[in-house]
Amino acid sequence: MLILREIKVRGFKAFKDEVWFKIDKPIFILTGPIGSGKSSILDAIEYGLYGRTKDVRRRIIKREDLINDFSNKLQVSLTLEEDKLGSIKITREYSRNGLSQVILTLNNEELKGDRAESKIRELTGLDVDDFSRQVFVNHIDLQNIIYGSPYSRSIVIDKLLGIDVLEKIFRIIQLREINEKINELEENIKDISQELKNLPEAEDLLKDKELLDKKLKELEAEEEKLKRNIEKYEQELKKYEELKSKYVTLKNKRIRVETLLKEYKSLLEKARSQLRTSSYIEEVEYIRDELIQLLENLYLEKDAEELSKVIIDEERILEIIKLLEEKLKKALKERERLIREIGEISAEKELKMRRLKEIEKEVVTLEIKIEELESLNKKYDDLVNKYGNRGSVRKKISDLELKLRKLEEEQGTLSCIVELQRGLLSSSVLQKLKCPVCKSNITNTKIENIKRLFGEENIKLKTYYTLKNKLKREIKDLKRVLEEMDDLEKYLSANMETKSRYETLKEKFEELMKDYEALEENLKEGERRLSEITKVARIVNKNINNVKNYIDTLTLREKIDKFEKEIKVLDKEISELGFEEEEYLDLREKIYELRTKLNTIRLKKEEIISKMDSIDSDISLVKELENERLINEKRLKKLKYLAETLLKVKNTFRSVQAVIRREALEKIKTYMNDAFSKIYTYEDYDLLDVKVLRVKEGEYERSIYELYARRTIDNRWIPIATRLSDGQKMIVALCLIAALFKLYTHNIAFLILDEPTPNVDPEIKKAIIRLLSRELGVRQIILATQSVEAIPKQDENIRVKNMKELRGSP
Amino acid sequence: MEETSFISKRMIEEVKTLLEEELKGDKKAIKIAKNIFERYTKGGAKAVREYLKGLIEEEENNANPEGNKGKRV
Repeated sequence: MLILREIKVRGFKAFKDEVWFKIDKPIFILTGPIGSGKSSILDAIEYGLYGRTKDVRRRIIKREDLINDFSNKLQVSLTLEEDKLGSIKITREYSRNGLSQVILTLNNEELKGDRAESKIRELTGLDVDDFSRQVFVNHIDLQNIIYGSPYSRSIVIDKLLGIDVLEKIFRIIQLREINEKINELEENIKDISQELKNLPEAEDLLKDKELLDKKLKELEAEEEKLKRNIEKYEQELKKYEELKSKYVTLKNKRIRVETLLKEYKSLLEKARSQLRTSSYIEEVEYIRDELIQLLENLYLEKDAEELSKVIIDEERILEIIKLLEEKLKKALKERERLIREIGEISAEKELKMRRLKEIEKEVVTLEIKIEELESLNKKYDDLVNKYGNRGSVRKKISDLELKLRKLEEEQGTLSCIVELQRGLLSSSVLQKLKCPVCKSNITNTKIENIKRLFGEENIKLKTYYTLKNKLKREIKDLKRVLEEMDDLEKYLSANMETKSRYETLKEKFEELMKDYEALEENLKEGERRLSEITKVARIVNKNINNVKNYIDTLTLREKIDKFEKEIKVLDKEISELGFEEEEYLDLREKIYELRTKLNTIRLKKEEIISKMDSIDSDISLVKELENERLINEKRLKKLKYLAETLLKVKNTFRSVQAVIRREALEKIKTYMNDAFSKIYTYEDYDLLDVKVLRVKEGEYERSIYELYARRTIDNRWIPIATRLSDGQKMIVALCLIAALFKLYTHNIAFLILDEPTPNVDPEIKKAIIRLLSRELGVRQIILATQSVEAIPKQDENIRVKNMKELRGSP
Repeated sequence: MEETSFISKRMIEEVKTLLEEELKGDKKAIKIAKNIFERYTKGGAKAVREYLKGLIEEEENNANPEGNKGKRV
């Protein structure tokens, strides 16, 4: 069995310089405050043995972080002692450049590298992982066992049992992905089956294709036949095509000649139809008679007579027509003269008409004036009757003016008096004056009498005024009458001749009217004659032209005969050519029909080929889908089998975990109770037990460890977590540690405890350490703690090393 | 960072033995279980996940050795 004898550290974690100490007691306690390097020493033991520490394994720190910040390399040297082999020395070095070395010295023999590592594992009987579970107890794990929740406690215990890995693997094996794929494939297969259901069967498609293929071959045979026929007809057509050009030339020529012939015949017929008689000689005679009549109407008797003597002769017909044209020309000339005459008469008539209108206008004006004069004359007579003649009126005016002057004089005197009286009466002078008659004051009575007298005068003056105004009005009226009479006299004498003028004009008007009516009669007669002459002249002219035209067309007969002959020649040539137009057109029609049929067959063929392609595509799709379904079914089968296997594997990890746990717990319970019976000297609890409960955690169940102690008083199992004191809990936890130390066989006889007694009072701590040293059954305990009070002072098994003492020590 | 579990060689051997016992001759399951366990001990959870993914892909490909034409998803 291995125990530790010496530790030497340099450049490791907190230690730059070399630290060296011997372990010479079963219980070796390192004390010192936080950061003093206690844990570094414990880590150095683990590092010395295995070249790693917990933190490096957990990747909390890197390996090079173990080197002191002020050093380039670390060195850890452990001296161990084995019962049979004696002293064993392990030295490890690791430098910042990554070089590492391990030397194992055993019986003066040095082993290096892998051999050294292998030998160390052989000597210890533990690898680094088991060492960290069984030998080097972490204070965090210890605390979790004592104070942690059931869940965290269970995690720690699983970890200490080494079966936490199996729980993790159980959880890592997820079947979600594979199940999703299975579902996906099932859906896919379902979709494909549905798609296949909607498609026809491959066999039916093949049958359809065969039928179409047969039809296609039939069409191809028909197509060949048609092609042959077309070729045959086209050869025949080619022969015709060679003659066609000549035939077309002849035919076009014939059409042109025929068109001309028709045109000439039509002209001839038209000229003939314009004659009124059956022969043109008769027509000329007819025209001559009409012309004679026309000439006579125009008083050209000589010419008429000359014409009547002319004998119409076919041989002289053109000469006669010329004569007729000359006579017509003369007649037309005469007609021109007649037109001029009529124009002159018309102008004269217009002139007379204008004159008549002027006279009529003047007559009307005179009639109005005469009427006015008669009215004024009557007015004058009335004035004379009323006022007398103008001399009498002048005399009356003169008399009235004389009277007025006289009245004005009287009125002036009276006005003067009245003004004087008014001045006298209106002032206060009258009251102050003495009467010129009686020399006494003028009394009011006198004043009143005077005023009355004055009033009378005043009235008289007003009468004067009235009279004077009346005279003035009378004079004014008479003057106006006189003036009016003068005006009338003057006006009437000035218009004395108006009536005679009126009479003269009226006579003249009637005379002019007679002339106008005569002119109008002449004009009507002239116009009637002109109209008749014009009409006849036109007819004669037209008929002469018609006859001339007809005579001209007589020359067309020769041409018509020529064309008829030409047509006969052309017909003969066409006939001899041997070009049967109808046959040619029939041939073309046949070829066209055959080509149309050929096109229809080609279209049908294309349609069939397209259908066949579509069937091919469907067949390929069906096959593809069937293949796809088959593959996916295989895939599904494989995946389902895999899923089942994975589920089985997953559950097996749980089963394995349960088996290991069960076996481990059986041993642990025994070891725990063994330790408990030695450590715990009180009588209240006598046995410990560990039970495993299955608790639902999320989608999984997990195992929860519950620690129990049996109460002696009633033999009931009491949960440690809820009933026991901290000290009791600590003892139970240390029993568990001791049990784990013994769980698997190994050669290490020392136990490393990092701060194993936190949160308990010093007395309990002291008791625990004492108990550990005496009863745990471990040969050597290396313990790190902060408090020194809890350490029993006079115990020969205990060596206490203060970290301060270690610094710089050899 | 995921905490790497520590598995001792003793534990590895014990687990492997127990897996064989529990899976009772199911060779494929034993092989998969051992592979998973080994991958976990060497590469952690990530390695196991990759292994499982590869396993599914392998099974799928085995169903159609000519190529992955079948699946239209």
